[in-house]
Parts: sequence; C-alpha cells; structure tokens
Amino acid sequence: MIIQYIATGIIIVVLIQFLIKVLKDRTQLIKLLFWGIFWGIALVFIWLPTNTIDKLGQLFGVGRGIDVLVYLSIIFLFYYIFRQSEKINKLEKEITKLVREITKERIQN
Amino acid sequence: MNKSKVYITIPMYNDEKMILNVIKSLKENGYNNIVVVDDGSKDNGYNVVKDNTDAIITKHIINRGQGAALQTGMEIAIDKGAKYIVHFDSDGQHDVKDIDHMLDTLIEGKYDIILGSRFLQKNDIPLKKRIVLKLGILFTYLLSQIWLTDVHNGLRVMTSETAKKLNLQHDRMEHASEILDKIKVLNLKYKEVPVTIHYTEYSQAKGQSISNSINIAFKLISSKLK
Repeated sequence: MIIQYIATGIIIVVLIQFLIKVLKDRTQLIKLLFWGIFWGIALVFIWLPTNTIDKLGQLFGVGRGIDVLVYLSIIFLFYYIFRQSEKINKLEKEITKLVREITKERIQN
Repeated sequence: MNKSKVYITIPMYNDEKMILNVIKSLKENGYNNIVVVDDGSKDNGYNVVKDNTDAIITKHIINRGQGAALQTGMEIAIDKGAKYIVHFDSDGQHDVKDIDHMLDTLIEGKYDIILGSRFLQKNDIPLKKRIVLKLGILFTYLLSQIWLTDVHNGLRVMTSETAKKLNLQHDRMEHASEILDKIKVLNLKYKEVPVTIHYTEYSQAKGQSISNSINIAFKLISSKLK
C-alpha cells in the first residue's frame, strides 16, 4: 500500500534529522535512542502483514488492527501533551521565582 | 487610625499615564507606604515612579502576570514590617477612600481579609462586564463553594498573617480566584464591603476580555484536577 511507503519516508526523514542533531550535539544521544526505538516499533507495525495486525485488533476487541494502533497513538499523544504542559507549568513557576528574587534585590527608595 | 503599618501593594503594567495620580491620591489620604511592582512594562512607568515619588519601586525583568506581581509586592511589604496589606490597582479604577472603611472593618471585626465588592453599592458597570462578573460568581461557587457578590475585584485589605498564608501560586489573573479558594480552604474570616469602581475609557480598555475569562476558568479547572 502506498501509505506504508509514505509513512516510512516520513519516519526516515525524522530519524535523519535526529541523527544530524546528535552529530552536532552528542548529549542528545539518549534522546535519539528513545525516538529511534519508538519509530523503529512504528516501522515494524507499518510493515506487519494486515492479518497479523488484525489479530491484535481481535485481541483488544476492536475490529481492525489499525484501529488499535490509532487508539493507542491518541492515548499516547494525550499523555505526552499532559506531561509537556506539566513541565511548562513547573518551568513557569521556576521562572517567576527567579524573577522575584532578582526583583527583590533591585528595590529602589 | 495609625497608617504607618499599612502597606499598599500596586502591581503595575503599562500604566505610566495613571500611576502618578494613583500614588498622589494615596499619599494625600495618609498612605505613605506604597510598594509598586512594575511587571515588566513596556512603557516608562518604572522611571516615572522612581523619579517623581518616594514610593518603593521595583521591576520584574520580564512580565510574569498580576498574581506574580502582587505576590512579589506582598513579600516586600512583609519584609518591610507591614501589619496590614492592601491590594490596589494601578489604573485608577479604585477609590482611595474605600481603604479607610475596609481597614476599620478588618480591625474592628477581627477579620483576616476584607474584599471589595462593586455590586454592594451603585456602580455603573457596563453590561458586558456585568455578565462576565456574574458568571464568575457562579463559577467560583461551583469551584470553591464560596458565594460572593463580586469575585474579581482587585481591592482587598488583609493582615500580613493572611498575606503569608495566601502565598499566591497563580501568576496570572487566576490569582483572584485562588485567593477566594484559599479563603475557603484555610477557613479565613472574611467580609465583603461595598466599594466604588471608576470605569473610565482607559480602565475599560485595559480590562479583562471574555476570551481571557474562559482562559482563566480553564486554568483553574486544570489546577483543581492536579
């Protein structure tokens, strides 16, 4: 199916971008490993025979295997957004704390 | 009453046109301890205050929101030895004369905090603003089980002990609801008193939009779910 080739192409582009980043900054290696494994698993699922994925669907009580993957992706994305917003909130609080300390040191009159 | 232990905390953001009038009226009414926290304004408000008044002035190097500026102001006031702390807006909406009777009520009634309410006396509140505020009252009741006549009034008077307990965590406009939530949770003794709000074109332009109110509601709900 053409969609398999398109998805594979996108994943390869993403991985190449990550690889270039890691070559510039070695500290990003762990990040590359994580996303490499993540996209690697995605590639496996993309190229699994349809009936194998459908068996997965039946296991979860959902008709088609591809639906399971879509549902799992949505759950993962929601969780990821939640974690990111938590991280941003924490950073915002830390920035405010920092700004406040600087502000208190610069009192006039 | 002796006003030497009363500290007025003013969070300021792009209010260079109004701030001198606000400080002048406070001084004329005997409030000499004024803490202005410039919340990263883009105008020249900081220098205007520094060069023309003896108010305590400091500046957030980047904008952190009204809640953050109030918290900074309260911490400075406490460090300076404040016994009573007043939250006062920098845009000229509030009436200095209201502080007197709010302080009297606080002290005589041994309250922890006095909240200003624009709905307890006749104020010409624009319809759009009235609807948003009434919805805010309902929202606050659902979220914090505290029924008030006005929930986003920036004029408050409290003891420094109360200010310490409040310890605002919401940096932006949600701090107003956070204060009410903490009044309930910490079981603080409070009272609403009527205050005058001067609605001018200037203050209206700076006021809260409906979309921002929705944003505040969303942030409060998500903070409750944590």
